[in-house]
Amino acid sequence: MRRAEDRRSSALRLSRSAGPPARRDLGTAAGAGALSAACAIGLLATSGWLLTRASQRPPVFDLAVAIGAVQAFALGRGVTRYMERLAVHGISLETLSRLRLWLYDTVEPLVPDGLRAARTGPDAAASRAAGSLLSGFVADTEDVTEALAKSTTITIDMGASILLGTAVAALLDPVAGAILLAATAGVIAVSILGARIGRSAAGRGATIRAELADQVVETVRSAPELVAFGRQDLITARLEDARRRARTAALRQALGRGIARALATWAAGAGLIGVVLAGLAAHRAGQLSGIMLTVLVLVSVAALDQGSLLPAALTGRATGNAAASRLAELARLELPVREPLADASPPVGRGGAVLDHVEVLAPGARRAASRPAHAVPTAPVPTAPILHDVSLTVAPGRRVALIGRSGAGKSSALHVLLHFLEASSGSARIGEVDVRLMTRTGMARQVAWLAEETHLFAATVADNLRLARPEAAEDELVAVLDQVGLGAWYHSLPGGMATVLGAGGRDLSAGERQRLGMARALLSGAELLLLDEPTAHLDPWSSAHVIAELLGSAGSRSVLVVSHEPGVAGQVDEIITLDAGRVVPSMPTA
Amino acid sequence: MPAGTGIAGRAAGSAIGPVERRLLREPAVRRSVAVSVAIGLISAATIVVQAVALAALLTGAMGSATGSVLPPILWLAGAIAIRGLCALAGELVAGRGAEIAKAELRGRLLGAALRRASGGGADGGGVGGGDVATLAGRGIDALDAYIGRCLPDLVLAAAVPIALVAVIGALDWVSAIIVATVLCLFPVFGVLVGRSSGRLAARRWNHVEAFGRQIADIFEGLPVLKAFGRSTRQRERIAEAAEGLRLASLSTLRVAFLSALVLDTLASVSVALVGVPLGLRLLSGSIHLAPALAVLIVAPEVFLPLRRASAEFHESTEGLAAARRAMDVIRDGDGGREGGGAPGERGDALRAGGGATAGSPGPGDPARVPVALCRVRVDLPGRPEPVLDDASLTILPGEKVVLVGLNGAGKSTTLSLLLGFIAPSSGAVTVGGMDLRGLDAQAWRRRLSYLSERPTLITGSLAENLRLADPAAGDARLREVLGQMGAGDLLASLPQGLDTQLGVGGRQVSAGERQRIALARAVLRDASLQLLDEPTSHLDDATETTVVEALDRALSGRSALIVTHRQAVVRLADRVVTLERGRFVAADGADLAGAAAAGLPGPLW
Repeated sequence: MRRAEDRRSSALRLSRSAGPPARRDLGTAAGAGALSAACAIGLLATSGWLLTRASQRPPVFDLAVAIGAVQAFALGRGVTRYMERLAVHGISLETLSRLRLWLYDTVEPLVPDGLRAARTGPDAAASRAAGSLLSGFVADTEDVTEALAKSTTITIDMGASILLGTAVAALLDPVAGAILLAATAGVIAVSILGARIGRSAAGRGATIRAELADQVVETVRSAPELVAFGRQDLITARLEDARRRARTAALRQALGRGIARALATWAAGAGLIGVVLAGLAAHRAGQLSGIMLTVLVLVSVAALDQGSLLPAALTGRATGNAAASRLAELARLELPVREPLADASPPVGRGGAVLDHVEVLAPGARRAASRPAHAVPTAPVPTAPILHDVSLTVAPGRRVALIGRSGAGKSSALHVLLHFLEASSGSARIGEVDVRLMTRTGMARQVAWLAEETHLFAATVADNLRLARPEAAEDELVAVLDQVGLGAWYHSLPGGMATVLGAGGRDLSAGERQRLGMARALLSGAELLLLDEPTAHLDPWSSAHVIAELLGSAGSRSVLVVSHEPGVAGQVDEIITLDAGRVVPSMPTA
Repeated sequence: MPAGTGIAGRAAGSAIGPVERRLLREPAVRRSVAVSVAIGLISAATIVVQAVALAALLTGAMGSATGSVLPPILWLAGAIAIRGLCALAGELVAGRGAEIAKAELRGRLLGAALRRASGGGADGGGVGGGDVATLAGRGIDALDAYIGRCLPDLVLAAAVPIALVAVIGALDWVSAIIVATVLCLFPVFGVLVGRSSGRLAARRWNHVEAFGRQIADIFEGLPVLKAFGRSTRQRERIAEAAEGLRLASLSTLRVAFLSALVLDTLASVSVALVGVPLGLRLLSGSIHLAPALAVLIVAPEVFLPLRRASAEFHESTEGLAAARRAMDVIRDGDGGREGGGAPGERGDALRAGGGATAGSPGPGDPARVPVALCRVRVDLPGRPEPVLDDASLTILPGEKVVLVGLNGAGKSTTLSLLLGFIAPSSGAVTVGGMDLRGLDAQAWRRRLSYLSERPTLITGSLAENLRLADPAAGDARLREVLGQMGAGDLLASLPQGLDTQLGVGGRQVSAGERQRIALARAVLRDASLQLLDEPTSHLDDATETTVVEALDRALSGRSALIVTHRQAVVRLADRVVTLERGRFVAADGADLAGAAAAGLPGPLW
């Protein structure tokens, strides 16, 4: 089940794996970039020629061509650069589209349990909910393409101007051409070396900064208790220490960058002096006219100027590569389940579910070694199975509650039934059919799932509901809203079924959101409902009420509900307690 | 900015002003920017020296005189050497300055965050505390580039062109006028292009955002789509949205890049505008070659800082946003403290003495004297109604009072009052009849123990976390309280026992385990008044029973105010109180839900 193995990933390599860029666009970009560089060099060369020649007082006629060329180059420069920019961004936007699809194809089979071992960007660490995790990766695809756009532009610009500059210089004086080439090579080498040193320093710096950030967050969160206990001195001391280390790391990084930039400046400067000396020697030897000496020097100045862009380009590449390696790592994650090709589920849901001696191993257990250094937990890596020999039966039409501490494996049990997680031994069956033999579409006929927090799409009420059954008629939608107690809410909506919900749409309270989720589940027609802490985000008083209503609306369907809510006890046929992945023997309730 | 809008976003985001003025008023920031600008000016000066030296070399070589080329070469070498040093110094100053500025801002942010976190309690003022923490932590790092590069470049974009025009003026005033005219044209063109393109870009930008949202939305809803068997079909929608995003972004960029086009064109056209007249004047002999060449080399440099600043600016949006949020929080924090008329006056939780002056009398012991809220009123920012209004409550020595009520009714605010985190806007908190405001806050808190509604653990071992409450407690005592609070098997399961590291913020333990550790910490403290906020949340029924029994023993002989919504906790109570329209009212302990709901105007949800 393991996919492509390649450890280091650059933004370029990752974007290639999503498909090569269109050759035509790359050609346009390179062509426009080369023209733009030619204009820049031509502008300085011709105007230098113009001035020097003019100082010899020739007839005006001699200067006419040069004057025209100067103006043409001046106007051409901006236009060609504009074309180049557009072409490069065209390519990178196309790459972005393809990367998004690639991401979808990569992530779709992993969601949700396969992502548990995923490494996330710096900001996603705080909120590891599946949703924000995924938008973090979507943002990563942008970083990758942005870095790509930037480095493509600079590669084109630098390459073109160095090649053109060196060519012109070599034509005028071979020695000067060689010096120019050597100097630009020196600039590039120094910049790359600096970037490489900077990257390792940045890696260390990032770890230290992350520690500092963690300390700060911890300080703020624990402030009331520390102040109450009179121990604020303790945390300020620690914070000061983390701050000092972050500062040292930052200074070291700045020193590395500064040395690299200084060396690049000096390399370019040495090149310029070399060119000047070589040109002067050629001029004295009578091989180079004074006019051409001016042209040579000005062309060299223009070509060497481009080198100053390099360090910035390399920094941008580092950001892109970090994002790229996070994305590439996704492709290496183990798939949590193997989806069947053919569907063996019955055409109509029957309800009822069985977990039969199910064992599930921790997803991170086998991959613990590959975690990033700063995330290595100080407590033991949990290697115990998530579920251990769990058996439970939900007979058709019965309601079973699954309770237990957080981390006891309640959600995992539901995920095994949903075939989000694969049992390493034992089996899960819905309506007497093994879930491993059901396709997603088949499974959706059998079972509906209500998560802790219902995701509402930025779409109309109707669309959000029809997700469960596209062919549902409008009166069916209204009926199901009534059933979950959203009748009055629905009638208060200005746009009725066409009211837009979700991001940028109408705000819903946590209770309304969960009821809508339940309506969706009921509409699906599935006979088995899996409710995963449906009121976790509600305050305790509302929670009791909402869960009673949700269960009340379930009718004759089979229900397996995970809940902390004590009130759930009176509304189910059986309570099963899980502890550390095992079923705790318990007494049946009335 | 929603995910999915990056590339075009950076280009189109230029509608907002580039400088956060409040940030520039910070002394540390100002110093750093000033030094960076000075270095930038020196660096620009070396370019002038280089241009003049090159011009001298070239004209010298062409002149009949075989005069020494050594002086101009030395000038050239000197200029290059200094420019390299400027690059090095510039990076160091930028790095150091950003770090100092960040430390300063972080300190002030932290101060503001701490005031919020401890000032408002969990009921009201704590809202957004998490955001502030993240901002003070990671958010501030976005300022690196903004303070180190972007702000100095913006200043240089104004200073260097003017300085260079002056230099050109010294060499040849006619060229200076031409360059200055072009320079003045730039803002005119910029405004014209910017205004028309800005409107266009903003309109197209909406499309870009909409497509970006759609993509993020599908990704976020992927688990649901999968559960309903719809995930394979959504691939087409992603493809459609991605294509839509591409086209919309491209048309946004077409407009957004226009301003760069104007800048580039003006810069190169200025060379032509300077060069051609210079050539014609050379022809007529009204100018010498050396200054003409120097002007030609310097002319494009006039526009370089402008171009760099505009490129830098597109990348600064993140830093700017961080700066803006930081300054907002700091201003709010300061305003909350200084605004005398502001309701809900805040105690500064960080200042050791709280509101008390040195030499204030020691507070009475709640084990011997009553603690009372006397007709207090508390207003919290963002709440139209006072949280507590004319509320009175007395906790007698040794009495256990259980406080129930709906979320937001003012339960945690009551605890914050007793802790001295906030002071009432009218009325008083008294200990043995003495106003808490006149007492030494540190000494008062030594008599208290506190369990927060959302207990936190700090980086360190289990023992260190427990000893926050009582540094002198021995290992045996720690084991004992852990056992009492149902955390005995947790302790046994930890590889290094009490010395096990709990990770940053106690990340390595579950919510239930954290709750039990925090409970153990609270009862470990030998305090005569225990303030417990939701002591049994995150606990299962069996553990709750154990914990309540243990609490019953641990609280004997002590006073306690316990906030809860659990029926099981009520058996600890000598008295049950609820909050009704901001006042304390005696309640029936047998029906908690009913008691809590009594104060409600409408339905529960």
